[in-house]
Amino acid sequence: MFGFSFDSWADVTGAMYIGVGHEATWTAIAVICCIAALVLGGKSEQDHYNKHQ
Amino acid sequence: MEEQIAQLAAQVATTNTMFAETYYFLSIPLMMIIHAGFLAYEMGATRLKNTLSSGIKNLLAFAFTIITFYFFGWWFYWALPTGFTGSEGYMAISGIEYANAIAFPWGDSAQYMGPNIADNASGVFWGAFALFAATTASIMSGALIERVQTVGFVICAIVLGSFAWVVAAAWGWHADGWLVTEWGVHDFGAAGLVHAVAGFFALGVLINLGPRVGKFNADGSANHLAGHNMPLTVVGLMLIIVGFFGFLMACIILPGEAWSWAGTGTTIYGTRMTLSALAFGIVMAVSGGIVGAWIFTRDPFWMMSGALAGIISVASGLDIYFPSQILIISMLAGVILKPCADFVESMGIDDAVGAVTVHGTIGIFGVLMLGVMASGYPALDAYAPEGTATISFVGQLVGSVVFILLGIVPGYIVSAILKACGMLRVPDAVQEKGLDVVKVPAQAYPEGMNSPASEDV
Repeated sequence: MFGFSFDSWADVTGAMYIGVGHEATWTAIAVICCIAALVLGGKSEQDHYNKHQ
Repeated sequence: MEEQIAQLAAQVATTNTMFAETYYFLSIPLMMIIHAGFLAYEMGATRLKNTLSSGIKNLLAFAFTIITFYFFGWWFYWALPTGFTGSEGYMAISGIEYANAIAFPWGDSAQYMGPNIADNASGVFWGAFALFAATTASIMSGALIERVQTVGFVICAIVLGSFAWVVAAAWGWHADGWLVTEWGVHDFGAAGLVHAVAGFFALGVLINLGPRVGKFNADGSANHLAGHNMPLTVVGLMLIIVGFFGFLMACIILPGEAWSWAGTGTTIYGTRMTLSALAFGIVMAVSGGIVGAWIFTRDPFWMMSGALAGIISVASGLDIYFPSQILIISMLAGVILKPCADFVESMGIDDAVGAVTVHGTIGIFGVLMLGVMASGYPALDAYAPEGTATISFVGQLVGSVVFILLGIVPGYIVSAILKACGMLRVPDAVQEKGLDVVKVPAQAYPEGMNSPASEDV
């Protein structure tokens, strides 16, 4: 999940990002963060409208 | 000697790859200028009480479109060129299997969706396409100002920027796209698949959203709700024009790489073209649009909108139009712009910045004009499958109908759902009070607009 996935830079021939092999986990967390942002943002917005009507 | 030649060839290949990577990379910040323009334009066209909320909406359209284009929009582009079946096309660079292999940020395809020492192309191509997507979503943004809810709008932007226009691009802006191979659709600069789709998507949303409070009187007549800062709006429009150079330069496929089409620069269809063609075309189109709009309006807002309309009107054929033809077509676009916007308003549609007209109507006008002017041009280059259609008016007409439907249908459906959920329209009481004071913890002009007089006289 974290750190260097290779023995040395000489072994790097393709993907070289942190967490090679764990992309689905990182992507799932990122998707959840975005959905949470939308849900929380939507709730905050509705609260402001309700307060000023 | 042979070793030296091999070394030289390797150096040339490296230089070419780095040039191509740099070329597309630099198109991305140039396209960001479009968004600086949209931000200024939209906030300037907003009344003072809603200035910052319009800016927030605009920023979020950009952010969420980029994010969702990474998660799934890029996949749709590669999966759907031959249609919703997701089958592989003749060029073998399309279909669900292909998209699964290169365009998902998980599994084996993830290697093409992040840093990869052996891949100098995927990131810059994705980046350029992501900016196309964000631009498409931002086109809709201005039309809805001052009464659309932020999160509801963001959901509309995601559907438009990461799905609706992507389907249009897959079908009409890809060498395996069925609109290209079967109907010869040619839309080099995306007049239809970006601008028209976005303009008609906005129309679909506007139908459900309704007008701003105070826009229409009881007898149906319209009031002009002027924005608070015309100079900001006009400069914003000029920034959009600047950004267009990045947008259009990214529409070229450079030669010399494994993913290139031929020994010359080409369009996304593999047909031959040059950057010089764009240099001739863009500035002539801007000029023609300004002049055309000036004739009847003498209004700087419509003159700069005319500049935008000028480019859009010829974008489909910027690779092959002669500059004098561009001048005529773009001038005509500038002339018809305001009457078309007036017609939309007469139908009870409150399009605050004329986006439906500038992008929707003029986008379709541009796609059809190319059908009139360029009939007989091959839609693809020599490697195309036998029987591939040529450019024709009928083909451009079919493309136009598809682009309109890909805009207005999802726009109407998603906004109808949001409306039913109470997530589309800002309550009228809040509109009257002003959106900034209700939901933005900042003030647009805390010291007002009047500067103190100089005492140094």
